[in-house]
Amino acid sequence: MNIDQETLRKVAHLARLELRPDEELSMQQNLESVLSWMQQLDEIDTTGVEPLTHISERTNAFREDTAQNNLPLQRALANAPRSDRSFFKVPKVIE
Amino acid sequence: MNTPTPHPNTSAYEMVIGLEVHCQLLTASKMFAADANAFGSAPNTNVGVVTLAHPGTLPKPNRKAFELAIRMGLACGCDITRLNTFDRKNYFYPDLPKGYQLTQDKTPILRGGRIAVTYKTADGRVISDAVALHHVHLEEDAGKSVHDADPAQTALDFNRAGVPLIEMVTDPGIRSAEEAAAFLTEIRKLVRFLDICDGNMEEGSLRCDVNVSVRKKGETALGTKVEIKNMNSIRNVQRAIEAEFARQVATVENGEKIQQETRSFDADTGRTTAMRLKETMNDYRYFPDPDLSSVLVSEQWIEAVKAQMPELPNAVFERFVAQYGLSDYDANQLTDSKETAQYFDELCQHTTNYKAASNWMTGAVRSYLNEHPSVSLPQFALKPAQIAAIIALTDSNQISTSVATQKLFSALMAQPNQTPLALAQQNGWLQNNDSTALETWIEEVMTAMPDKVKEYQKGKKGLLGLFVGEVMKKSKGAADPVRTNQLMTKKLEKA
Repeated sequence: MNIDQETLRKVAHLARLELRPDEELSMQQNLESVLSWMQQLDEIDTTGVEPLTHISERTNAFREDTAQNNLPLQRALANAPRSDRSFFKVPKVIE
Repeated sequence: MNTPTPHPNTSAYEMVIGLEVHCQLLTASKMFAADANAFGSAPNTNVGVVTLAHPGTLPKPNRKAFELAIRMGLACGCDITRLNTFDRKNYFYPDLPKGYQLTQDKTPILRGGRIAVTYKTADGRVISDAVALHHVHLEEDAGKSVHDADPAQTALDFNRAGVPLIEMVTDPGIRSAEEAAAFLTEIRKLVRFLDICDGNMEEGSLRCDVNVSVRKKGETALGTKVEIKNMNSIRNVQRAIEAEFARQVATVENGEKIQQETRSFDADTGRTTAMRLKETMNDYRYFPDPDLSSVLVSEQWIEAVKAQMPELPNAVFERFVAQYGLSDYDANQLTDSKETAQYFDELCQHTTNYKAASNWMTGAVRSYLNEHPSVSLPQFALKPAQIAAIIALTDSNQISTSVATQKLFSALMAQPNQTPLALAQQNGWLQNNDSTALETWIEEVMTAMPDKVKEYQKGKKGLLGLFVGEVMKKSKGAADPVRTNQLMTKKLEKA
Protein backbone atom coordinates (compact mmCIF):
# COMPACT_ATOMS: atom_id res chain seq x y z
CA MET A 1 0.00 0.00 0.00
CA ASN A 2 1.30 3.40 -0.97
CA ILE A 3 1.40 6.33 1.39
CA ASP A 4 2.01 9.54 -0.47
CA GLN A 5 3.52 12.61 1.11
CA GLU A 6 0.19 14.37 1.41
CA THR A 7 -1.38 11.48 3.32
CA LEU A 8 1.67 11.23 5.54
CA ARG A 9 1.50 14.91 6.44
CA LYS A 10 -2.21 14.73 7.07
CA VAL A 11 -1.86 11.74 9.39
CA ALA A 12 1.04 13.45 11.18
CA HIS A 13 -1.03 16.59 11.63
CA LEU A 14 -4.02 14.65 13.00
CA ALA A 15 -1.70 13.02 15.54
CA ARG A 16 -0.10 16.39 16.26
CA LEU A 17 3.31 15.06 15.25
CA GLU A 18 5.87 17.41 13.76
CA LEU A 19 8.04 15.51 11.30
CA ARG A 20 11.30 16.97 10.08
CA PRO A 21 11.67 16.72 6.28
CA ASP A 22 14.48 14.18 6.70
CA GLU A 23 12.20 11.95 8.79
CA GLU A 24 9.42 11.82 6.23
CA LEU A 25 10.83 9.18 3.91
CA SER A 26 11.57 6.62 6.61
CA MET A 27 8.19 7.26 8.26
CA GLN A 28 6.52 6.79 4.91
CA GLN A 29 8.28 3.45 4.43
CA ASN A 30 7.45 2.33 7.97
CA LEU A 31 3.80 3.07 7.54
CA GLU A 32 3.70 1.28 4.20
CA SER A 33 5.25 -1.83 5.64
CA VAL A 34 2.85 -1.89 8.60
CA LEU A 35 -0.10 -1.48 6.26
CA SER A 36 1.15 -4.17 3.88
CA TRP A 37 1.55 -6.53 6.79
CA MET A 38 -2.01 -5.83 7.93
CA GLN A 39 -3.20 -6.23 4.36
CA GLN A 40 -2.52 -9.94 4.61
CA LEU A 41 -5.76 -10.13 6.57
CA ASP A 42 -7.60 -9.35 3.35
CA GLU A 43 -6.77 -12.85 2.20
CA ILE A 44 -9.29 -14.29 4.64
CA ASP A 45 -12.85 -14.58 3.37
CA THR A 46 -15.03 -12.88 5.98
CA THR A 47 -18.30 -13.09 4.08
CA GLY A 48 -21.14 -13.40 6.59
CA VAL A 49 -18.89 -12.89 9.61
CA GLU A 50 -20.04 -10.16 11.99
CA PRO A 51 -17.33 -7.63 12.85
CA LEU A 52 -15.72 -8.30 16.21
CA THR A 53 -15.50 -5.18 18.32
CA HIS A 54 -14.09 -6.71 21.46
CA ILE A 55 -11.99 -9.71 22.36
CA SER A 56 -13.75 -10.30 25.66
CA GLU A 57 -17.02 -12.18 25.49
CA ARG A 58 -18.16 -10.53 28.64
CA THR A 59 -21.00 -8.05 28.10
CA ASN A 60 -22.84 -5.55 30.29
CA ALA A 61 -19.94 -4.86 32.64
CA PHE A 62 -21.89 -2.05 34.28
CA ARG A 63 -21.26 0.32 37.10
CA GLU A 64 -24.27 1.19 39.25
CA ASP A 65 -25.13 4.89 39.26
CA THR A 66 -23.61 6.11 42.52
CA ALA A 67 -21.34 9.13 42.79
CA GLN A 68 -18.08 8.51 44.59
CA ASN A 69 -14.29 8.80 44.28
CA ASN A 70 -14.12 12.45 43.28
CA LEU A 71 -10.53 13.58 43.52
CA PRO A 72 -9.84 16.41 45.96
CA LEU A 73 -9.21 19.57 43.91
CA GLN A 74 -5.55 19.86 44.92
CA ARG A 75 -4.81 16.30 43.89
CA ALA A 76 -6.74 16.73 40.66
CA LEU A 77 -4.57 19.71 39.74
CA ALA A 78 -1.32 18.23 41.08
CA ASN A 79 0.02 16.91 37.76
CA ALA A 80 -1.06 19.83 35.63
CA PRO A 81 1.83 21.69 34.01
CA ARG A 82 -0.10 24.90 34.63
CA SER A 83 -3.02 25.62 36.91
CA ASP A 84 -4.37 28.14 39.34
CA ARG A 85 -6.30 27.25 42.48
CA SER A 86 -9.35 26.03 40.57
CA PHE A 87 -8.58 25.58 36.91
CA PHE A 88 -6.25 23.72 34.60
CA LYS A 89 -4.55 26.28 32.38
CA VAL A 90 -3.55 25.79 28.76
CA PRO A 91 -2.30 28.07 26.00
CA LYS A 92 -5.12 30.26 24.73
CA VAL A 93 -7.49 28.43 22.39
CA ILE A 94 -10.20 30.36 20.64
CA GLU A 95 -12.78 28.58 18.56
CA MET B 1 -32.37 43.16 18.13
CA ASN B 2 -32.15 43.50 14.39
CA THR B 3 -32.89 40.80 11.88
CA PRO B 4 -31.51 40.94 8.37
CA THR B 5 -34.00 42.33 5.86
CA PRO B 6 -35.43 39.44 3.83
CA HIS B 7 -34.51 39.29 0.18
CA PRO B 8 -37.42 40.13 -2.14
CA ASN B 9 -37.26 36.65 -3.71
CA THR B 10 -37.40 34.85 -0.34
CA SER B 11 -40.79 33.30 -1.03
CA ALA B 12 -39.30 31.28 -3.91
CA TYR B 13 -37.16 29.32 -1.43
CA GLU B 14 -37.80 26.77 1.27
CA MET B 15 -35.63 25.90 4.22
CA VAL B 16 -34.51 22.40 5.07
CA ILE B 17 -33.67 21.93 8.72
CA GLY B 18 -32.24 19.10 10.76
CA LEU B 19 -31.59 19.34 14.48
CA GLU B 20 -29.06 17.72 16.79
CA VAL B 21 -30.30 17.93 20.35
CA HIS B 22 -28.03 17.03 23.25
CA CYS B 23 -29.66 16.14 26.56
CA GLN B 24 -27.53 15.69 29.67
CA LEU B 25 -28.95 12.71 31.50
CA LEU B 26 -30.13 12.99 35.10
CA THR B 27 -27.76 10.46 36.60
CA ALA B 28 -25.91 10.77 39.88
CA SER B 29 -22.57 9.86 38.33
CA LYS B 30 -20.85 10.17 34.96
CA MET B 31 -21.17 8.00 31.86
CA PHE B 32 -18.01 5.95 32.37
CA ALA B 33 -16.79 6.98 35.82
CA ALA B 34 -18.13 7.47 39.33
CA ASP B 35 -17.46 11.25 39.59
CA ALA B 36 -20.56 13.21 40.52
CA ASN B 37 -22.74 14.56 37.72
CA ALA B 38 -23.82 17.90 39.17
CA PHE B 39 -24.24 21.38 37.72
CA GLY B 40 -22.84 24.41 39.51
CA SER B 41 -20.14 22.75 41.64
CA ALA B 42 -16.84 24.56 42.21
CA PRO B 43 -14.52 24.04 39.21
CA ASN B 44 -12.76 20.67 38.98
CA THR B 45 -14.35 19.22 42.10
CA ASN B 46 -16.38 16.59 40.22
CA VAL B 47 -13.39 14.96 38.57
CA GLY B 48 -11.56 11.70 38.99
CA VAL B 49 -8.73 9.76 37.40
CA VAL B 50 -10.86 8.36 34.55
CA THR B 51 -12.22 11.78 33.61
CA LEU B 52 -8.74 13.29 33.68
CA ALA B 53 -7.42 10.40 31.55
CA HIS B 54 -4.72 9.33 33.95
CA PRO B 55 -2.71 6.46 32.47
CA GLY B 56 -3.93 2.98 33.31
CA THR B 57 -7.50 3.96 34.14
CA LEU B 58 -10.42 2.29 32.43
CA PRO B 59 -13.99 3.39 31.71
CA LYS B 60 -16.98 1.47 33.05
CA PRO B 61 -20.46 2.27 31.73
CA ASN B 62 -23.28 3.59 33.87
CA ARG B 63 -26.33 1.29 33.79
CA LYS B 64 -28.74 4.13 34.54
CA ALA B 65 -27.65 6.10 31.47
CA PHE B 66 -28.76 3.20 29.27
CA GLU B 67 -32.07 2.97 31.09
CA LEU B 68 -32.78 6.66 30.58
CA ALA B 69 -31.97 6.39 26.88
CA ILE B 70 -34.25 3.34 26.57
CA ARG B 71 -36.99 5.34 28.28
CA MET B 72 -36.70 8.01 25.59
CA GLY B 73 -36.82 5.30 22.93
CA LEU B 74 -40.01 3.81 24.37
CA ALA B 75 -41.60 7.25 24.49
CA CYS B 76 -40.76 8.07 20.86
CA GLY B 77 -41.41 4.66 19.33
CA CYS B 78 -37.76 4.10 18.33
CA ASP B 79 -36.17 0.77 17.52
CA ILE B 80 -33.91 -0.13 20.42
CA THR B 81 -30.50 -1.45 19.42
CA ARG B 82 -29.72 -4.78 21.06
CA LEU B 83 -25.95 -4.91 20.60
CA ASN B 84 -24.37 -1.63 21.62
CA THR B 85 -20.72 -0.72 21.22
CA PHE B 86 -18.80 2.51 21.74
CA ASP B 87 -16.44 4.24 19.36
CA ARG B 88 -13.65 6.71 19.85
CA LYS B 89 -14.13 10.03 18.11
CA ASN B 90 -10.60 11.35 17.96
CA TYR B 91 -9.70 15.01 18.14
CA PHE B 92 -7.39 17.22 20.12
CA TYR B 93 -9.02 19.93 22.11
CA PRO B 94 -8.11 20.81 25.68
CA ASP B 95 -11.62 20.18 27.01
CA LEU B 96 -11.15 16.50 26.17
CA PRO B 97 -8.32 15.04 28.24
CA LYS B 98 -8.31 11.60 26.59
CA GLY B 99 -7.92 13.01 23.10
CA TYR B 100 -11.14 11.28 22.06
CA GLN B 101 -14.79 11.31 22.95
CA LEU B 102 -16.56 8.01 23.63
CA THR B 103 -19.68 7.90 21.48
CA GLN B 104 -21.82 5.47 19.52
CA ASP B 105 -20.90 5.97 15.89
CA LYS B 106 -21.87 2.52 14.59
CA THR B 107 -24.61 1.39 16.94
CA PRO B 108 -26.74 4.29 18.16
CA ILE B 109 -28.92 2.95 20.97
CA LEU B 110 -32.10 4.19 19.26
CA ARG B 111 -33.08 4.37 15.60
CA GLY B 112 -36.17 5.88 14.01
CA GLY B 113 -39.11 7.08 16.05
CA ARG B 114 -40.99 10.36 15.93
CA ILE B 115 -42.17 13.23 18.06
CA ALA B 116 -45.57 14.83 17.44
CA VAL B 117 -45.63 18.63 17.20
CA THR B 118 -48.37 21.22 16.84
CA TYR B 119 -47.40 24.74 15.88
CA LYS B 120 -48.57 27.94 14.29
CA THR B 121 -46.93 29.01 11.04
CA ALA B 122 -45.80 32.59 10.40
CA ASP B 123 -49.01 33.14 8.39
CA GLY B 124 -51.20 31.86 11.22
CA ARG B 125 -52.08 28.31 10.15
CA VAL B 126 -52.08 25.64 12.88
CA ILE B 127 -50.23 22.50 11.81
CA SER B 128 -50.03 19.13 13.54
CA ASP B 129 -47.21 16.97 12.31
CA ALA B 130 -44.52 14.62 13.55
CA VAL B 131 -40.78 15.13 13.34
CA ALA B 132 -38.96 11.92 12.38
CA LEU B 133 -35.88 11.00 14.38
CA HIS B 134 -32.96 9.56 12.47
CA HIS B 135 -31.26 8.09 15.52
CA VAL B 136 -30.32 8.77 19.14
CA HIS B 137 -26.90 7.84 20.50
CA LEU B 138 -25.27 7.80 23.91
CA GLU B 139 -22.03 9.66 24.49
CA GLU B 140 -20.03 11.61 27.04
CA ASP B 141 -19.93 15.39 27.34
CA ALA B 142 -16.69 17.39 27.11
CA GLY B 143 -15.27 19.74 29.76
CA LYS B 144 -15.79 23.47 29.75
CA SER B 145 -13.28 26.02 28.46
CA VAL B 146 -13.25 29.48 29.98
CA HIS B 147 -11.65 31.90 27.54
CA ASP B 148 -12.29 35.27 29.12
CA ALA B 149 -11.00 34.76 32.69
CA ASP B 150 -7.34 35.10 31.77
CA PRO B 151 -6.03 37.12 28.79
CA ALA B 152 -3.16 34.77 28.02
CA GLN B 153 -4.51 31.34 28.87
CA THR B 154 -7.61 29.22 28.57
CA ALA B 155 -8.93 27.85 31.86
CA LEU B 156 -10.46 24.40 31.99
CA ASP B 157 -13.13 22.92 34.21
CA PHE B 158 -13.61 19.18 33.79
CA ASN B 159 -16.74 18.84 35.95
CA ARG B 160 -18.80 18.42 32.79
CA ALA B 161 -16.34 16.07 31.10
CA GLY B 162 -17.83 12.59 31.03
CA VAL B 163 -21.40 13.62 31.88
CA PRO B 164 -23.77 11.24 30.04
CA LEU B 165 -25.62 12.64 27.05
CA ILE B 166 -28.08 11.43 24.52
CA GLU B 167 -27.77 13.15 21.17
CA MET B 168 -31.01 13.10 19.22
CA VAL B 169 -30.56 13.60 15.50
CA THR B 170 -33.61 14.37 13.34
CA ASP B 171 -34.08 13.69 9.67
CA PRO B 172 -33.73 16.89 7.62
CA GLY B 173 -37.53 17.06 7.49
CA ILE B 174 -38.19 20.27 9.39
CA ARG B 175 -39.42 23.06 7.12
CA SER B 176 -39.75 26.14 9.30
CA ALA B 177 -38.26 27.89 12.30
CA GLU B 178 -41.65 27.55 14.03
CA GLU B 179 -41.64 23.78 13.55
CA ALA B 180 -38.07 23.58 14.92
CA ALA B 181 -39.10 25.61 17.97
CA ALA B 182 -42.19 23.43 18.52
CA PHE B 183 -40.05 20.30 18.26
CA LEU B 184 -37.60 21.59 20.86
CA THR B 185 -40.43 22.64 23.16
CA GLU B 186 -41.88 19.14 22.86
CA ILE B 187 -38.52 17.48 23.57
CA ARG B 188 -38.00 19.66 26.60
CA LYS B 189 -41.45 18.75 27.90
CA LEU B 190 -40.91 15.07 27.18
CA VAL B 191 -37.50 14.76 28.84
CA ARG B 192 -38.86 16.53 31.91
CA PHE B 193 -41.91 14.26 32.14
CA LEU B 194 -39.65 11.26 31.64
CA ASP B 195 -37.19 12.47 34.28
CA ILE B 196 -34.26 11.93 32.00
CA CYS B 197 -32.98 15.51 31.68
CA ASP B 198 -33.85 18.79 33.41
CA GLY B 199 -34.20 20.50 30.03
CA ASN B 200 -32.44 23.69 31.11
CA MET B 201 -31.09 25.39 27.99
CA GLU B 202 -29.51 28.29 29.85
CA GLU B 203 -27.40 25.95 31.94
CA GLY B 204 -26.70 23.88 28.86
CA SER B 205 -28.26 20.63 30.02
CA LEU B 206 -30.33 20.78 26.83
CA ARG B 207 -28.40 22.02 23.79
CA CYS B 208 -29.28 22.25 20.16
CA ASP B 209 -27.24 22.51 16.97
CA VAL B 210 -29.11 23.32 13.80
CA ASN B 211 -28.32 22.29 10.23
CA VAL B 212 -29.89 24.65 7.72
CA SER B 213 -29.87 24.63 3.93
CA VAL B 214 -32.06 26.32 1.35
CA ARG B 215 -33.39 25.28 -2.01
CA LYS B 216 -35.82 26.63 -4.58
CA LYS B 217 -39.33 25.39 -3.90
CA GLY B 218 -40.04 22.29 -5.96
CA GLU B 219 -36.43 21.13 -6.05
CA THR B 220 -35.64 17.79 -4.45
CA ALA B 221 -31.84 17.91 -4.16
CA LEU B 222 -30.53 19.26 -0.85
CA GLY B 223 -28.51 22.47 -0.78
CA THR B 224 -25.18 22.86 1.02
CA LYS B 225 -25.84 22.70 4.73
CA VAL B 226 -24.53 25.04 7.36
CA GLU B 227 -24.37 24.12 11.02
CA ILE B 228 -25.28 26.73 13.62
CA LYS B 229 -24.22 26.53 17.25
CA ASN B 230 -24.45 28.52 20.48
CA MET B 231 -28.12 29.13 21.03
CA ASN B 232 -29.18 29.10 24.66
CA SER B 233 -32.95 29.32 24.29
CA ILE B 234 -35.67 28.00 22.02
CA ARG B 235 -36.44 31.56 20.97
CA ASN B 236 -32.83 32.02 19.87
CA VAL B 237 -32.89 28.76 17.90
CA GLN B 238 -35.88 30.15 16.03
CA ARG B 239 -34.18 33.52 15.47
CA ALA B 240 -30.95 31.84 14.33
CA ILE B 241 -32.81 29.75 11.74
CA GLU B 242 -34.66 32.79 10.42
CA ALA B 243 -31.44 34.82 10.20
CA GLU B 244 -29.53 31.99 8.54
CA PHE B 245 -32.32 31.37 6.03
CA ALA B 246 -32.30 35.05 5.07
CA ARG B 247 -28.50 35.04 4.75
CA GLN B 248 -28.46 31.92 2.57
CA VAL B 249 -31.24 33.16 0.30
CA ALA B 250 -29.39 36.46 -0.17
CA THR B 251 -26.13 34.60 -0.87
CA VAL B 252 -27.73 32.39 -3.52
CA GLU B 253 -29.61 35.32 -5.06
CA ASN B 254 -26.30 37.18 -5.34
CA GLY B 255 -24.98 34.29 -7.38
CA GLU B 256 -22.56 33.19 -4.67
CA LYS B 257 -22.00 29.70 -3.30
CA ILE B 258 -22.99 28.60 0.20
CA GLN B 259 -19.88 27.45 2.07
CA GLN B 260 -20.17 24.27 4.08
CA GLU B 261 -19.23 25.60 7.47
CA THR B 262 -20.09 25.96 11.13
CA ARG B 263 -21.51 29.30 12.18
CA SER B 264 -22.21 30.81 15.55
CA PHE B 265 -25.39 32.69 16.48
CA ASP B 266 -24.97 36.01 18.22
CA ALA B 267 -28.11 36.79 20.23
CA ASP B 268 -27.21 40.49 20.46
CA THR B 269 -26.88 41.14 16.75
CA GLY B 270 -29.39 38.46 15.71
CA ARG B 271 -26.93 37.24 13.08
CA THR B 272 -24.82 34.17 12.45
CA THR B 273 -21.08 34.48 11.92
CA ALA B 274 -18.61 31.97 10.48
CA MET B 275 -16.69 29.82 12.97
CA ARG B 276 -14.85 27.31 10.79
CA LEU B 277 -14.97 25.84 7.32
CA LYS B 278 -15.72 22.19 6.73
CA GLU B 279 -12.38 21.60 4.93
CA THR B 280 -10.48 22.60 8.01
CA MET B 281 -12.75 20.54 10.24
CA ASN B 282 -11.45 17.45 11.91
CA ASP B 283 -11.21 13.98 10.57
CA TYR B 284 -12.45 12.04 13.57
CA ARG B 285 -11.13 8.56 12.64
CA TYR B 286 -13.80 6.68 14.55
CA PHE B 287 -12.92 3.18 15.69
CA PRO B 288 -14.40 0.79 18.29
CA ASP B 289 -13.15 1.51 21.78
CA PRO B 290 -11.11 -1.49 22.95
CA ASP B 291 -11.55 -0.60 26.63
CA LEU B 292 -15.31 -1.10 26.69
CA SER B 293 -17.02 -4.41 26.17
CA SER B 294 -20.40 -4.50 24.42
CA VAL B 295 -23.72 -3.81 26.03
CA LEU B 296 -26.58 -6.15 25.20
CA VAL B 297 -30.07 -4.81 25.71
CA SER B 298 -32.42 -7.73 26.33
CA GLU B 299 -36.19 -7.84 25.87
CA GLN B 300 -36.42 -8.43 29.59
CA TRP B 301 -34.48 -5.27 30.37
CA ILE B 302 -36.68 -3.22 28.04
CA GLU B 303 -39.78 -4.62 29.79
CA ALA B 304 -38.32 -3.67 33.17
CA VAL B 305 -37.68 -0.10 31.98
CA LYS B 306 -41.20 0.04 30.53
CA ALA B 307 -42.67 -1.08 33.85
CA GLN B 308 -41.02 1.88 35.56
CA MET B 309 -41.83 4.49 32.92
CA PRO B 310 -43.17 7.75 34.30
CA GLU B 311 -46.51 8.78 32.82
CA LEU B 312 -46.11 10.40 29.39
CA PRO B 313 -47.58 13.88 28.79
CA ASN B 314 -50.26 12.48 26.46
CA ALA B 315 -51.33 9.91 29.03
CA VAL B 316 -51.56 12.61 31.70
CA PHE B 317 -53.65 14.73 29.31
CA GLU B 318 -56.09 11.88 28.70
CA ARG B 319 -56.28 11.05 32.38
CA PHE B 320 -57.05 14.68 33.25
CA VAL B 321 -59.91 14.72 30.76
CA ALA B 322 -61.29 11.38 31.99
CA GLN B 323 -60.63 11.61 35.72
CA TYR B 324 -61.28 15.30 36.34
CA GLY B 325 -63.72 16.02 33.51
CA LEU B 326 -61.55 18.82 32.15
CA SER B 327 -61.95 20.32 28.68
CA ASP B 328 -59.20 19.53 26.17
CA TYR B 329 -58.11 23.14 26.41
CA ASP B 330 -57.72 23.10 30.19
CA ALA B 331 -56.11 19.66 30.18
CA ASN B 332 -53.63 20.88 27.59
CA GLN B 333 -52.68 23.89 29.71
CA LEU B 334 -52.31 21.75 32.80
CA THR B 335 -50.01 19.23 31.11
CA ASP B 336 -47.87 21.95 29.67
CA SER B 337 -45.15 21.08 32.17
CA LYS B 338 -44.56 18.24 34.57
CA GLU B 339 -44.59 20.62 37.57
CA THR B 340 -47.98 22.01 36.61
CA ALA B 341 -49.44 18.53 36.13
CA GLN B 342 -48.03 17.33 39.45
CA TYR B 343 -49.27 20.38 41.30
CA PHE B 344 -52.72 19.98 39.80
CA ASP B 345 -52.84 16.30 40.66
CA GLU B 346 -51.95 17.11 44.24
CA LEU B 347 -54.48 19.92 44.35
CA CYS B 348 -57.16 17.44 43.28
CA GLN B 349 -56.25 15.26 46.27
CA HIS B 350 -57.52 18.11 48.44
CA THR B 351 -60.62 19.19 46.56
CA THR B 352 -63.22 17.60 44.35
CA ASN B 353 -64.13 20.86 42.64
CA TYR B 354 -61.80 20.07 39.72
CA LYS B 355 -63.14 22.85 37.53
CA ALA B 356 -62.33 25.43 40.22
CA ALA B 357 -58.92 23.81 40.74
CA SER B 358 -58.22 24.10 37.03
CA ASN B 359 -59.38 27.74 37.00
CA TRP B 360 -57.04 28.58 39.87
CA MET B 361 -54.11 26.92 38.12
CA THR B 362 -54.66 28.52 34.73
CA GLY B 363 -55.77 31.82 36.26
CA ALA B 364 -54.34 33.31 39.43
CA VAL B 365 -51.46 30.87 39.87
CA ARG B 366 -50.29 31.10 36.26
CA SER B 367 -50.54 34.92 36.22
CA TYR B 368 -48.47 35.09 39.38
CA LEU B 369 -45.80 32.83 37.88
CA ASN B 370 -45.79 34.79 34.62
CA GLU B 371 -45.27 38.00 36.55
CA HIS B 372 -42.47 36.43 38.60
CA PRO B 373 -40.29 34.56 36.09
CA SER B 374 -37.75 33.67 38.76
CA VAL B 375 -40.34 31.63 40.66
CA SER B 376 -41.38 28.23 39.36
CA LEU B 377 -44.05 25.95 40.82
CA PRO B 378 -41.74 23.90 43.05
CA GLN B 379 -40.75 27.14 44.83
CA PHE B 380 -44.24 28.65 44.73
CA ALA B 381 -45.16 29.80 48.24
CA LEU B 382 -48.66 28.30 48.31
CA LYS B 383 -48.97 24.55 48.59
CA PRO B 384 -51.83 22.77 46.79
CA ALA B 385 -53.62 22.28 50.13
CA GLN B 386 -53.84 26.06 50.58
CA ILE B 387 -55.37 26.61 47.16
CA ALA B 388 -57.80 23.81 48.01
CA ALA B 389 -58.65 25.62 51.26
CA ILE B 390 -59.53 28.78 49.28
CA ILE B 391 -61.71 26.69 46.97
CA ALA B 392 -63.47 25.24 50.03
CA LEU B 393 -64.23 28.79 51.22
CA THR B 394 -65.76 29.82 47.90
CA ASP B 395 -67.61 26.53 47.50
CA SER B 396 -69.29 27.02 50.88
CA ASN B 397 -70.06 30.64 49.97
CA GLN B 398 -68.00 31.91 52.87
CA ILE B 399 -66.20 34.25 50.53
CA SER B 400 -67.01 35.34 47.01
CA THR B 401 -64.89 34.20 44.09
CA SER B 402 -63.97 37.79 43.30
CA VAL B 403 -62.70 38.43 46.84
CA ALA B 404 -60.84 35.13 46.70
CA THR B 405 -59.01 35.93 43.48
CA GLN B 406 -58.60 39.67 43.91
CA LYS B 407 -57.84 39.95 47.63
CA LEU B 408 -57.35 36.69 49.48
CA PHE B 409 -54.88 35.22 46.99
CA SER B 410 -52.42 38.13 47.23
CA ALA B 411 -52.92 38.39 51.00
CA LEU B 412 -52.03 34.73 51.29
CA MET B 413 -49.00 35.19 49.02
CA ALA B 414 -47.82 37.88 51.45
CA GLN B 415 -48.43 35.63 54.47
CA PRO B 416 -48.20 32.08 53.20
CA ASN B 417 -48.11 30.66 56.72
CA GLN B 418 -51.62 31.83 57.49
CA THR B 419 -54.68 29.81 56.60
CA PRO B 420 -57.06 31.30 54.03
CA LEU B 421 -59.87 31.20 56.60
CA ALA B 422 -57.89 33.15 59.22
CA LEU B 423 -56.93 35.82 56.69
CA ALA B 424 -60.50 36.16 55.46
CA GLN B 425 -61.65 36.54 59.04
CA GLN B 426 -59.00 39.12 59.94
CA ASN B 427 -59.81 41.23 56.90
CA GLY B 428 -63.58 40.94 57.24
CA TRP B 429 -63.93 39.22 53.87
CA LEU B 430 -66.21 36.48 55.10
CA GLN B 431 -69.60 36.84 53.52
CA ASN B 432 -72.46 37.38 55.74
CA ASN B 433 -74.43 34.43 54.70
CA ASP B 434 -77.16 34.90 57.14
CA SER B 435 -79.54 36.70 54.86
CA THR B 436 -80.53 39.26 57.48
CA ALA B 437 -77.35 41.31 57.05
CA LEU B 438 -77.66 41.20 53.30
CA GLU B 439 -81.34 42.04 53.51
CA THR B 440 -80.58 44.99 55.78
CA TRP B 441 -78.06 46.38 53.27
CA ILE B 442 -80.51 45.87 50.43
CA GLU B 443 -83.30 47.62 52.29
CA GLU B 444 -81.00 50.50 53.20
CA VAL B 445 -80.02 50.92 49.55
CA MET B 446 -83.66 50.80 48.43
CA THR B 447 -84.72 53.33 51.05
CA ALA B 448 -81.91 55.66 50.05
CA MET B 449 -82.94 55.64 46.36
CA PRO B 450 -86.72 55.63 46.12
CA ASP B 451 -86.78 57.32 42.68
CA LYS B 452 -84.43 54.74 41.17
CA VAL B 453 -86.52 51.94 42.63
CA LYS B 454 -89.60 53.37 40.88
CA GLU B 455 -87.73 53.69 37.59
CA TYR B 456 -86.66 50.05 37.91
CA GLN B 457 -90.18 48.95 38.54
CA LYS B 458 -91.34 50.90 35.47
CA GLY B 459 -89.00 48.73 33.41
CA LYS B 460 -85.50 50.25 33.64
CA LYS B 461 -84.02 46.88 34.61
CA GLY B 462 -80.49 48.06 33.89
CA LEU B 463 -80.49 49.82 37.26
CA LEU B 464 -80.01 46.47 39.00
CA GLY B 465 -76.23 46.84 38.61
CA LEU B 466 -76.34 50.19 40.41
CA PHE B 467 -78.25 48.71 43.39
CA VAL B 468 -75.96 45.70 43.63
CA GLY B 469 -72.93 47.99 43.44
CA GLU B 470 -74.26 50.04 46.37
CA VAL B 471 -74.79 46.89 48.42
CA MET B 472 -71.24 45.77 47.62
CA LYS B 473 -69.98 49.14 48.83
CA LYS B 474 -71.90 48.84 52.08
CA SER B 475 -70.58 45.34 52.62
CA LYS B 476 -67.04 46.52 51.80
CA GLY B 477 -66.89 43.84 49.13
CA ALA B 478 -67.84 41.01 51.44
CA ALA B 479 -71.27 40.37 49.99
CA ASP B 480 -71.53 37.57 47.45
CA PRO B 481 -72.50 39.38 44.22
CA VAL B 482 -74.49 36.41 42.92
CA ARG B 483 -76.59 36.13 46.07
CA THR B 484 -76.97 39.90 46.26
CA ASN B 485 -78.23 39.91 42.68
CA GLN B 486 -80.80 37.23 43.40
CA LEU B 487 -82.04 38.74 46.63
CA MET B 488 -82.08 42.30 45.23
CA THR B 489 -84.16 41.23 42.24
CA LYS B 490 -86.60 39.45 44.54
CA LYS B 491 -86.98 42.51 46.80
CA LEU B 492 -87.42 44.90 43.88
CA GLU B 493 -90.11 42.75 42.29
CA LYS B 494 -91.98 42.59 45.61
CA ALA B 495 -91.71 46.22 46.57
